[in-house]
Amino acid sequence: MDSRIAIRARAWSRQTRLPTPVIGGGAILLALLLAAVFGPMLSPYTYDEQSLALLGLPRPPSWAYWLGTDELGRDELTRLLYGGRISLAIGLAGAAVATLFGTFIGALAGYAGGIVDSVAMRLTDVMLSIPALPLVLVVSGLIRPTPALLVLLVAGLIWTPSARLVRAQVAGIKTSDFVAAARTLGVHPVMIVTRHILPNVGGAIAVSATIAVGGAILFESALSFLGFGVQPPTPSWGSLLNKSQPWLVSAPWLSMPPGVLIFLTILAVNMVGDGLRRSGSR
Amino acid sequence: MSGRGLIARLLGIIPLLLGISLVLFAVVHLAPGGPLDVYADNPSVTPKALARIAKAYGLDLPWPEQYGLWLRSMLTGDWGYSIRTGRPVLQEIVERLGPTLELGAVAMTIAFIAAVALGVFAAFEEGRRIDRVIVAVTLGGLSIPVFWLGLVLQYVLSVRLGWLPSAGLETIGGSSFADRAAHLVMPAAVLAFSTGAGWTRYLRAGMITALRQDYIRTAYAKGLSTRTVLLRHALRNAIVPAISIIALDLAGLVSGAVITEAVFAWPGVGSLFVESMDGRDYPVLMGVLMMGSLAVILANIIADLAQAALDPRLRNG
Repeated sequence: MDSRIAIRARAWSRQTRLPTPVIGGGAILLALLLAAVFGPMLSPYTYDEQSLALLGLPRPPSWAYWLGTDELGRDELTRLLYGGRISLAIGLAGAAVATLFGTFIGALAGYAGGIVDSVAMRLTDVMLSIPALPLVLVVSGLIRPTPALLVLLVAGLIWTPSARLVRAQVAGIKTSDFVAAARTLGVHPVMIVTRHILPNVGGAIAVSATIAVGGAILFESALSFLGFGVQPPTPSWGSLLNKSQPWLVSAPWLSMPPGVLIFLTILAVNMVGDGLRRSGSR
Repeated sequence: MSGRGLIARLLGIIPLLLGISLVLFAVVHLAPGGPLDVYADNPSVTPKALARIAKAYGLDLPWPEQYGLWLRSMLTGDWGYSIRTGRPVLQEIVERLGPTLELGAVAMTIAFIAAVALGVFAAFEEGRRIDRVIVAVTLGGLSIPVFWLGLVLQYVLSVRLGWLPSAGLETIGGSSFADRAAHLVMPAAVLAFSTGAGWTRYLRAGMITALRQDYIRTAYAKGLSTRTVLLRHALRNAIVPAISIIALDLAGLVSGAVITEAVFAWPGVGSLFVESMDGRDYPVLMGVLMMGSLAVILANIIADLAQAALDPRLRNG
């Protein structure tokens, strides 16, 4: 990193009391998000616009097409930016759904205990035992998912760790005096969980949500890379890599950018997650 | 774990496997189209032929009966028959298990040795430059998508430099030990890097915790060498929590390193899985998933046993 930027980031992290990696990772994510949201608007092309003159073979980068064109004569940069919308949206939404669902199940199991707890935990046992990537491949191969369905699919796979985490925390806090006090006062169980217990679990949920974002983006890109994720002509970073694979020898410029962006995104997410966890345990 | 505890754990596998089989069966059969959807758009397959195929595979039966039949073939028979090849599923999988285990064994051995060495070293040097480099590299290893790392290596080492063959198990017609080894280098390196990165971080964290304990000071005070303190006293404690992660990663290999095998056209279980995806070959897909799940369950139990063997406090726990 440029040393001036590093110094600035460190100064800022002192002010906000967030660890430097959290600031750095957050900045990378923000930059990627902004590029994905506004990039396609600034581009003179659309993601599915074909130049008939360039049909047939991928063309190398030029002034008109900064990252070249694919074999269908489409601007690679525009597809990359638009694909970023899809990949980031599925990653963020998938992680959000997974965290909400996991928190719900975990809180229910942890607070209710007994048979509800057993059933929920056996369900997570089952889900954690089935190899995740093959399972999601089968499901998405069966239903040819739209991006919205992909969100649910990815969430359906990665909700278990947050459910277990929240359950353990809720079950622990349940026996505290302030919960007993609230119960004695006749507070409704739903209110006890949402108002009194869950706020104490917030930090742990935040960390597991960050990890879930990385997981969701990796799953989406792996699915799309294998051809079972986002369906054409809609691009995502994974499907752009998939489409570039046959051209690795003759048009290597197509495979590098999507991979770099997936790598950067997951790296940024991991930096944020790592930093949050470390500042939480301190 | 006592003998009775172990038996209870082993018996616990049965309901878990039943639950998994129900989930898998439901997933495959609730899907629109079903197994014969591949033939639906094929004009040369008449409705009559379709009905005959459905009958041959028992797809015309009500689903509880189908589930029962499938379960019976999983327990006593050959796990059903592949829709693509008509051969027993068990045979198809066993044939592909060889390359998968070969790749997995090499990659995991490298990953384990590297993770222990780097994890111990980084913890010993905690906070210094070399530790920060190791932490950064492992963060990269966790973040880099294996399919892209594979593509980059293929481009640099095969296309550009021509040092290594880009894909496959061996050169067709001209296979020798050196040839097979050359084909193994890239997939094994990719797999070892992505798996070993996580292990290194766990071991480093475990070592840092262990090195702060009183018994480490005692061991130094007794005049033991740094080497003995690190390996005999600290590592033995640091490795216990890492074992569950390592066991899970090893079990994941049994269902094939799907992505690595796909990128490098490695003819293992993972490739079989992707091929079966293209052909909607449900019996094979379900067979691989069941086998993979069983491996995960057994790995969990073995990890618990290994942890109890290493740490007396976990016995009878």
